Amino acid sequence: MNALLALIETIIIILIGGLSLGIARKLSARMQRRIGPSIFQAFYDVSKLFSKEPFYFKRLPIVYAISSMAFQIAAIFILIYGGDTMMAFFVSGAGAVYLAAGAFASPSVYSWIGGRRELLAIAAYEPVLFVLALSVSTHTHNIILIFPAVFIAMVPVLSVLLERSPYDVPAAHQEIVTGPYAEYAGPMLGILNIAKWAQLGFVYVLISMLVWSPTLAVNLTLKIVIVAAAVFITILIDNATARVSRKTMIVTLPIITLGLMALNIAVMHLAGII
Amino acid sequence: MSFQEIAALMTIAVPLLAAIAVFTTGKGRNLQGLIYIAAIVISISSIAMVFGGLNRFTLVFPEFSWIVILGLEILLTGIFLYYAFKLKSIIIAAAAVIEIIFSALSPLNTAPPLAVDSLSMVLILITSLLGSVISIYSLHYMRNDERKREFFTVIFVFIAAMNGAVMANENSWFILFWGVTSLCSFLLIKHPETHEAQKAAKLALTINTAGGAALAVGMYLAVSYYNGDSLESFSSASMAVPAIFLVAAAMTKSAQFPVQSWLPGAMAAPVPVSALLHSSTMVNLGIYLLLRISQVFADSPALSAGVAFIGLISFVAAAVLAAAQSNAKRLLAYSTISNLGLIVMCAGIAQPHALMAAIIFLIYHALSKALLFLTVGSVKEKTGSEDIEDMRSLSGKSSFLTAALITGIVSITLPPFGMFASKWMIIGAASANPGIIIPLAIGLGVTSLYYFKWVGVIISPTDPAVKDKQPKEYRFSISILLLSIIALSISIIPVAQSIARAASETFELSPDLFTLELSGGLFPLVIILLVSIISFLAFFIPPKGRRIKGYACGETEQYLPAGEYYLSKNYQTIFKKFVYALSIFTFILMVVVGVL
Repeated sequence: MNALLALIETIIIILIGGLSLGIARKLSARMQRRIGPSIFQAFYDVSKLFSKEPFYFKRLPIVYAISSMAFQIAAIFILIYGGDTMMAFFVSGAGAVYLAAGAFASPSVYSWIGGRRELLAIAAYEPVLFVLALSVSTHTHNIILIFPAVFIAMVPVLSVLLERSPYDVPAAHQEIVTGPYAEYAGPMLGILNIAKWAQLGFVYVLISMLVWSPTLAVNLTLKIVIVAAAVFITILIDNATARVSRKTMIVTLPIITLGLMALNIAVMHLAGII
Repeated sequence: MSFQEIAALMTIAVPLLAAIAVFTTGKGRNLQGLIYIAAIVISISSIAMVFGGLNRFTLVFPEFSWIVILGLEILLTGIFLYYAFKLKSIIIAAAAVIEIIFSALSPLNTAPPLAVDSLSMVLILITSLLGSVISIYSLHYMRNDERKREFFTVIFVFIAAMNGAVMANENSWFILFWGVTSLCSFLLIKHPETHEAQKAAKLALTINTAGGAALAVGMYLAVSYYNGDSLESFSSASMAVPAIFLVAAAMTKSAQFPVQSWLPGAMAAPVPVSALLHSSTMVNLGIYLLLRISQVFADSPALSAGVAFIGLISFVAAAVLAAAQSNAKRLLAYSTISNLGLIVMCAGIAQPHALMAAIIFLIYHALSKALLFLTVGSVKEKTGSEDIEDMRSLSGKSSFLTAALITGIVSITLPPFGMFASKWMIIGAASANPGIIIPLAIGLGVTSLYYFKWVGVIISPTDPAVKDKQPKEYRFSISILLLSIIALSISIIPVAQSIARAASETFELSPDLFTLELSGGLFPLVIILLVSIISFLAFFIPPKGRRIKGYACGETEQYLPAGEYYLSKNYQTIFKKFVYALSIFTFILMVVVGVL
């Protein structure tokens, strides 16, 4: 029974991940005074992708695409079911790595370069997610009051995951089309899109765990507000900045985020709170 | 003598006998049969010992055995001095003399010379089983070698010494076996007799005899001033001063910054030697020593933080250096330093979960490193190169070797394999010191970067695929490792449970401290296993749809992307200097604070 409930919640969270992509596009468009696509655009895209003719080059990229999706969904499920946060984090990380592996196994230079950049991005953002997951798993209640830096650090991470400037390096549209996704088409691209939704959903759940309230309504509102705030700030920054080079990314992203969090931890440690 | 005691003794005696037999037989077929028999008997006796139960037992020898040990130590010193003279190295000579003086000065004591508990058993299993597989692999790999008899003699002595060292309880026995492993590693690295190998061997001997001297001094101090007659007596902060010497010795064996340089140098040796040094012997001994004396760290915050940070520095720095290597063996050497750094960190934290993490990491690391090195050796025979760029599209040429490499890499980086290790480690680390968390996170990120960059090169496809013959000769040893990794991974739950039990017995702490920490019960784990199995099976389901060819946006010219290695030689040197300074500073800080 518990497992069934967790499964339903997992599906809802994946859908929220997909919805957030549409909302992000709409928001971005409104900021640029465009009308923008419908907020359900991500769902339309994927349903169309599944109606396309399947074709493939080799088995390996397909295996990795399916693994990526399976691991991302499993990560959310484990988190919701009440398995540990750290365990879920590792499973989600595996899903991210399989995406890069799929790009490497594809028969094109563009996808290969995309895969390499994806890997670099993973090395830059996973440590931040790691600290978030750890702070969520070792503390309870309103963690944001103890670790405000963790929330701030999530903004650059979200800009990688939502493929937004300044850190949209793997999917750099001007040079390599869609990065690791370059060689996927049809249903397989659809599967990778769902993997992306799941990954976003996973991160949103982690972010939402930063706040807590005993009343259900307040609790839910708080969680929605904090996730929406993170997405909104990410889009705002996206519209105000240009994409950085990957060297700048690998240097600035960890330094800004981890530096802030280190400062946070140090201050709290010295203050005797943790 | 009980059956278990005989089996334990056999894990030392059989390799020694095998060494003698190999050394005295002629060339040709004899050797092959002999090595197969020796490998099988060693494996069986180590497994038989474990089946006798995980309880601790001691082995007592007649009174006069100390004379034999002293005689052997003098002989060992003589050999060290001979090589010191030959290599014109004052450091080696001085270290050898210090070692013999201090171990001869140590008063006699009554501790049982050999004691086997569950930690020793884990190490004996690793050494005996992996050592046997590696020696079988070497049979074919070293087939054209002129001096293969000497080579195998040293390998078997090495296995015997390693088994002896992890059983040794009394100080002088431990020092003797420790010295023998240093000597064997020197002889094996020197084996190709090239200029590079000679240089690397000299460096290894210098660092390791210095470590041996530190060990002897530490043990002497322990016996003479702190009433510590055996490794077991290292159990509280009152032993901090001798423990510091032991930590220094362990750092040399386990190749931690700033004394790590001998391990990347040792890649001049043939592949089986690297596999032996990195997985089944040598580097594990330092970790073993640290785990043995970990109760000192648990009692002394200064030592604990010092050791943990030395491990942490090695973990992160070696991972960054590994990302800059284009040679597969060199990459593996740095990754060993890095992974060992993680284990050293766990031993330093000395909190129950960290200790469990150290043991499980030790097992998975040994298996995966053995598999990776042996596979790289086979690839080298196949393609004539051990450079990562030359392994491009290996998946098109040999699916077996590709599977072996990927399994080796995945088994220590991704769930469900190395996950428990990481999880426990993090629980331990987080509760011990919040300063560890962020460097740890960076190190984990870089680790996945350098490993999967390599995977990416291997699995990048060729069009059309080139089909080569699969290597038959190495199939046996590589398959065994492959299967045992998969078996261990599938049975992760019972493995984790038995490691928890072994850890609580070894460290004599309540079993309640060594829980598996599964908040959601076993169900999430089952889900992870299920998902892994699904992605494994996905490979065997034929894909639907039309098969197409690769497309490069209309470009006709075929070009391949070159690998990215981030740090040039110059930057690597600067980075290394910085890390040396940092690690020496940490060590000195630890000594100063620890002694005061």
